[in-house]
Amino acid sequence: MALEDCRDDLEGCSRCSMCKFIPMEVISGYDFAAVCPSVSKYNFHSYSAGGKLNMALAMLDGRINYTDKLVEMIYQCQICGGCDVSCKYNRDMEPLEALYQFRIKCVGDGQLLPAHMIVIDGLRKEDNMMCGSKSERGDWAEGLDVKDLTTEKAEVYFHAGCRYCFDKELWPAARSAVSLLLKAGVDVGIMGKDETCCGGRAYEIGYQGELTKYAEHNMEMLKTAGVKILVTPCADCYHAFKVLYHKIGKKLDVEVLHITEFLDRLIKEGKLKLTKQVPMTVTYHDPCHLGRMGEPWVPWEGVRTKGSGQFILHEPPKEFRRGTHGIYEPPRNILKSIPGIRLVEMVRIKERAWCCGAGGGVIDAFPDFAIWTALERVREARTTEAEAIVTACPWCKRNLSDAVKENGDGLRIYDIVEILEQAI
Amino acid sequence: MALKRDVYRELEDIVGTDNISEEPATLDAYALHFGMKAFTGNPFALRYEAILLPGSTEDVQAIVKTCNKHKIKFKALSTGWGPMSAPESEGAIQLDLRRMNKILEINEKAMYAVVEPYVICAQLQAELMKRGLNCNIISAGSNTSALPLTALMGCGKTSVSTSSNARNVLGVEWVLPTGEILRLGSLGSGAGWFCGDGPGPSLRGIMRGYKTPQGGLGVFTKAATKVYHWPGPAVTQVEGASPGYIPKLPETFTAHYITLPSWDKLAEAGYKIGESEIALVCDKTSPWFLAQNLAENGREGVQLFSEIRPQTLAKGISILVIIGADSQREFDYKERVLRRITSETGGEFLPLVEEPTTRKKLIWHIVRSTPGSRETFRLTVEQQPSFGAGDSWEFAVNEAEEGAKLKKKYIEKGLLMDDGADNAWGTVYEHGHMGHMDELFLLDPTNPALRQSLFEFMQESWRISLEKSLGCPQTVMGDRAHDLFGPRTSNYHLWARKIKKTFDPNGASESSRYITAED
Repeated sequence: MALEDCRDDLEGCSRCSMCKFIPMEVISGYDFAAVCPSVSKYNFHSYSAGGKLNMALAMLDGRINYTDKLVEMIYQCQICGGCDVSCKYNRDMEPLEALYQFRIKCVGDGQLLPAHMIVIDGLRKEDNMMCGSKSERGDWAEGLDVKDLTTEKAEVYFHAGCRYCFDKELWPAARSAVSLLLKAGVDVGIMGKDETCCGGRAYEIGYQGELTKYAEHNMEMLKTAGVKILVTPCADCYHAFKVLYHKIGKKLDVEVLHITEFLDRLIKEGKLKLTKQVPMTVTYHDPCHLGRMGEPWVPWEGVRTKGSGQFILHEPPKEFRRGTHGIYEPPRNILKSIPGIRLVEMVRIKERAWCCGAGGGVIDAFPDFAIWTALERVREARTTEAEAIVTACPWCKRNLSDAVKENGDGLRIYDIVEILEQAI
Repeated sequence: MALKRDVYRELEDIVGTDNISEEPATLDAYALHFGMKAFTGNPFALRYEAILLPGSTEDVQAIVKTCNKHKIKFKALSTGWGPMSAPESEGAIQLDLRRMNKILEINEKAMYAVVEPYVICAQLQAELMKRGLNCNIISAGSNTSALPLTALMGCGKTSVSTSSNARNVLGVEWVLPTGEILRLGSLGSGAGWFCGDGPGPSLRGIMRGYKTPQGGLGVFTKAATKVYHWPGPAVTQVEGASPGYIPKLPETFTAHYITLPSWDKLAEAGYKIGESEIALVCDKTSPWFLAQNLAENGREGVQLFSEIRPQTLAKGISILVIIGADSQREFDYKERVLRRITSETGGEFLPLVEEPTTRKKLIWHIVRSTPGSRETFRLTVEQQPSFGAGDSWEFAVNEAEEGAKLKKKYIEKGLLMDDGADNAWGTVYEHGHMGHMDELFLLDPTNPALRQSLFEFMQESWRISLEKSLGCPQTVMGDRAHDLFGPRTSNYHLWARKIKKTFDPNGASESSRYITAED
């Protein structure tokens, strides 16, 4: 796959601007109609998915060359997939794939952002995206009575992910997740310092080789560990394991679950009893990688043919991933099952959720833009009666927490496992 | 030919560093438009020299004055969907009005809303519905500007109950091509936005006329649009995820897709439905459009089209009628009237649309005008309109009939996609007294032979319009086209040119898609 392979979609953009908004059918007022943080912040059409497709076509046609500004525009985007859902409400196109390929081309052509180079250097040396030392990767789990999969066997592998492993403020959430699994009697283990990155965030910055490398490594590791289920509390890792690995032909042989799916299952099976009241009104922020981008990968190999000599048909028929089958209900089921919790929804939810701002390398290269995006989400949450935003991804929690801290908003930010643990 | 540095700095001082760009990639992002590849083989139009993002009327005025001073052409766009916002001469700058995006007022009692250019119809409509009101949305869709001064004719899917923008436009704030600000209608006398024709100057015909000036006569920075009654809920709950949303609509809403035995009967039914004032929507939705509208992907739409073809195209001409009512009694009355009209005109309901979930989805798609690009661009990547002069409903029906006849020839030769030939979109409005119909055709722009057929089709459709006195097609833009149609249409082109000369003495407002001052 290369950017050139996206040419039909680049030429197929009619510049309708749907990619800038949530699907028109669900726009319920003046406010919160936008879905794309990039064009919302920077305003020029070139920041939208449509604009980026136009620029990619101009690049392929030799009309433009790289400039610092062009590279900046390509990367001032969380690659959150909101545009993809809105475009595909009406069209049979793959705008998100074109955005990925534009970045992969940038990396291939040596058009790198210094901030990303630092992170990728760290990844190559220390196997994580946090510039941490690999020897400290397992510190978050110190004292937990959980199996070490490097020496023991278990049915379930708990993959914490780079952010949870190296962001100390978030350790309690990762520890809570493991504790809940243990309380439910799950035979779970961790890899400690031998856990590595999933490669997903590197891929989203355009480093596709890193994804392949870590996919192969993790496949081998899982095979050796002999686990049946991989569970992760990180939406980014979940997306990589479940979607991206499959996309590059490295589908894992184990069941991949996000922690919310697993916990929802355990609650329904009666293995977790929620008895304590948690009197709180909360709103739920759908992480992009768990929600719209978390729906299963649908492999397709074929050709675009011309039906009746005129219209485009995919042979064999192609099933487009339109955000319809993302992981939306498990986290909501969990929240609804906690005594005392009142869940109030924001306008932009599920497949049309507004991004937290951290994705696609934005938190590394454009922290102000990341915070700006998070503050927009906080503003939206403030229009509900929620006292807290609950999410299910450490990147979302980190960025939303930083935004709230920065603007002095009293809104609390929780990972869903932290709330659930209070109920047990 | 980049802008001179002193000019650039002058413009930069107006909008600020972050709101001006001459980055080549950005210029190309603004240069790509649908239609370009079909007509020229190149998807990119000419580049502008710079893109500016003004944030206020004052910004626009200052930019326009600077352009006049330095003899630079400018053109503004709102949502920018279509090649009309592209220039045909080098050296121009573009004003993207995206930052001017506020709903300034919704006046429930006087039934108008005042908007800036980058409020999209979906936003305005949602706010209006909360207040029991609705707005006209041009047929392109709710992703377009709510300013009633963009697009071409200004008709939309609900126009039978929300009229057209030529009628809806009330008070207007207009930055003339010289930079002077003109306030029209009641706004011009400080009396507010409620009326387009006074007290105060009424230049509705000059400002807008039959079609909008396509960005070629200054910049419209604010306008009031007339709004209408909405008989539905303030907020409609929508279940499911994209693209298969299912709205929770009250029982006082329904839709019928009616196939009539002939064009004459279509005309008769349209008049009766319009005059009886029963319809929220009376929309000439072709079977092709209906199938694509309801299908969640193009292939499914092709299949659905083949399934409904024997029940629709094989039997006649179809229209979609949606009824919405405030009470069950009102609903029953409207439904009875519609059934009677259907019976009198020999119409038949399409069973597919009688299915409750399909019906709900369709109603919401149409009322909210959401699947424009689904119906037009999804399968072929390119669409173009033809005919579409707009006049009385019967006149519009005649256009559609001629369009279908012409298109059939091209389909039989394999030059246009087979959409059943009748792919006219149109609507009844002004209680049935007015109508619009344009024959849309879909084609593959990547095939040079098919692109040639596009030219031939357009030329032939214009010839038919001239020979059969079918008015001035909506695709008539620019000097050459106006000079062709003007002499057959009361010499309107001479008047339009005089307007252009008078209002734009320096020729600053880029008007290649409107008319230039050149004789």
